[in-house]
Amino acid sequence: MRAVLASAVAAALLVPAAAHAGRVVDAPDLKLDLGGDVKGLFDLVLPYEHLFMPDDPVGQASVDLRLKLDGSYSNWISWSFHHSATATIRGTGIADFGITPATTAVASEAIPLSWEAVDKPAFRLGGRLDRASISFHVPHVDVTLGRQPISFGTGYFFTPMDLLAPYTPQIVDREYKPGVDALRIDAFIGMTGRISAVAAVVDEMNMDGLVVAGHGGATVGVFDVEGLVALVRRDFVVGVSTQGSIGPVGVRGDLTVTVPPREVEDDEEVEDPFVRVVLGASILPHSKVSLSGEVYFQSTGTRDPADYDLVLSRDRFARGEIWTMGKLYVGISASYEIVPIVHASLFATVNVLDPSALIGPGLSWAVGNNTELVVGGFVALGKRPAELEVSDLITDDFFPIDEDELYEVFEPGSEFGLMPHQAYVQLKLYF
Amino acid sequence: MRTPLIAALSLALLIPAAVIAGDGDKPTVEELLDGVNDANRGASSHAKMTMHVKTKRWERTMSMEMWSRGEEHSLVKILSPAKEAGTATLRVEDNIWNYLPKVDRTMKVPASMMSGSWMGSHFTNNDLVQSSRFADDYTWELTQEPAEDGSGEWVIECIPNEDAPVVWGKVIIKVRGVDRVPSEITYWDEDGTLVRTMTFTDIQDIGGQPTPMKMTLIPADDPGEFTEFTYDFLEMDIEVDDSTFTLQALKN
Repeated sequence: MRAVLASAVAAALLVPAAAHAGRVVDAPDLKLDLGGDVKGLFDLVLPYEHLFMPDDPVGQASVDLRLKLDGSYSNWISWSFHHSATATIRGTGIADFGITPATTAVASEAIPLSWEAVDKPAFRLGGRLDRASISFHVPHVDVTLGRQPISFGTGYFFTPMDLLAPYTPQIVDREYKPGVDALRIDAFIGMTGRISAVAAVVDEMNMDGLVVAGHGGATVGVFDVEGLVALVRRDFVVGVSTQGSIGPVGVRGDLTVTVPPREVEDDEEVEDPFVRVVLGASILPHSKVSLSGEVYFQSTGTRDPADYDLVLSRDRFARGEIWTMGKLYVGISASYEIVPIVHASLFATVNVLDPSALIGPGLSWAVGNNTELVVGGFVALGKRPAELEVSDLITDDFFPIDEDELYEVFEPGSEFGLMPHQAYVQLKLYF
Repeated sequence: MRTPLIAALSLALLIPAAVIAGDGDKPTVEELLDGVNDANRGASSHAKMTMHVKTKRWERTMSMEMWSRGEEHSLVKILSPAKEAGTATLRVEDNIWNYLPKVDRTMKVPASMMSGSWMGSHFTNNDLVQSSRFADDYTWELTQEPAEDGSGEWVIECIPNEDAPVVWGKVIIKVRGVDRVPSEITYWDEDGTLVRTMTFTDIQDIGGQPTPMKMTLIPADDPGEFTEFTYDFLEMDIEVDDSTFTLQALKN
């Protein structure tokens, strides 16, 4: 009942919100902005031949409505409340195969501020309060409490310092980073120095769901240099990052060392400390062309696709903290301005040692000031998983094999070769 | 989004350059040229402005709020369109940052991005940075002066020096005799072909100075197109605190 009520309220708010969007209060002390966006997405999955894939292409369509209420009072207090509601229609069978494309990023939540009115294989209607924060500002210090986006690091493709809800490459819509429940204190020193302290609870109200981070940075010449010390779900993480320019080339890099807990449950193995490092560069070789590239290494991955099951079975992979299974990657992107309102783009994320790649061509057209049409896709290249027969998935007693046995019979082939091709069209309307 | 913000940031520094009113004796040409370049240098400003771009096939409008102090400190926040509202850019000396509130990301802007064009406007970022100085980087010739009653204009033809960091073959600047406000700047290529024309109109009194509140750039090869900047609000030579040009202000 609560979910139905929430969806009704969300729908009822759309029309007046769109009609009165903008700065609804612009008094000397009080500012109040009402706005949002509606996004329609059609996504088509083009499966390859495999027992785990459907026989035919399957699609899903979704409509996402975000209502935003942001404001401030007298420069010392501000707030942000965003509610996102999504209705998704899925093609028959897509969910059964576990390949439902994750079109929008999501984050775990410590405080339940989500609702679900319908959750069926073919249709889902749900929503989330994605921003619900209040900030206090005094000279040199900001304090923000509540659900808020938090990002650290400089990487575009690979983000080892992004501890809270990092993006994965197949996320079509990266416009809003999901909010996490946190207390954040930012102290600013001079014009460009900053120190941040963050305490976030990302799903469980205990040490397993706690992220505590200290982050600081300063500008040295034309380089920003930052450091991080964090406790992430019992992992101890230290990191450094930098971004700046060398001549006309923008450069960036993040390095983290993660030390997993030494004390684990009896049925768990002690994980070795691991390193993640990304180095990137960006350049505009022409006024209409931008290029960017990154090289990423993680010592926690594996070289052999046959061992991907070990990576997949780790909690940190399941919760999206790390989405790469290999060790060495390259990411490249190019963008070309066909005309000022039409941009073509291409990205490639490559597992160098597999080898396999996910390539994403895209075309965006700013139809109007507040309307954008995006067409794109993902082309997955690499060795496909070995064929399976139904008989491989049942025991001699005709029972389904268990998860461990499944990992034994399933041969991934390559990382990105696991993924199907995808194509999507998205229309975005802002108000 | 980086490119328009850089340009907007640069614009915050450039626009006051158009505000060159003065009193007193007849100015020298160097003073007029320095006025075009320097009216924004060392001054501060706070403005809200609208950019309107019109081409054959499309139009777009963007509004922004800006603060500037000297040529090395500025902060620009996009107010509309809704898609980009809230995005902000800070410049402190040689460092430029963009803040993207939707993802809580502060991104350092590399120098190479300064060479990009500005979101389909007829400006380029290099135009807006305007690192060259007419009096220093050009050889000038005064070809016309206003009448003693102030009617008419100064017309100054500027030819870039060989080592000047400019792409033009010639620039002709017109400055109104009545109030010393620039009225038009034409830009010519090295073959002597007119490339574009910038006009300054809607002169209003801002803080006791006649100030052009609208600037329009028209490409010569397509006179039906234009990019127009209009001040909705402008105050100059005001006290702008250090805290305006900090990462804290960028995020808030």
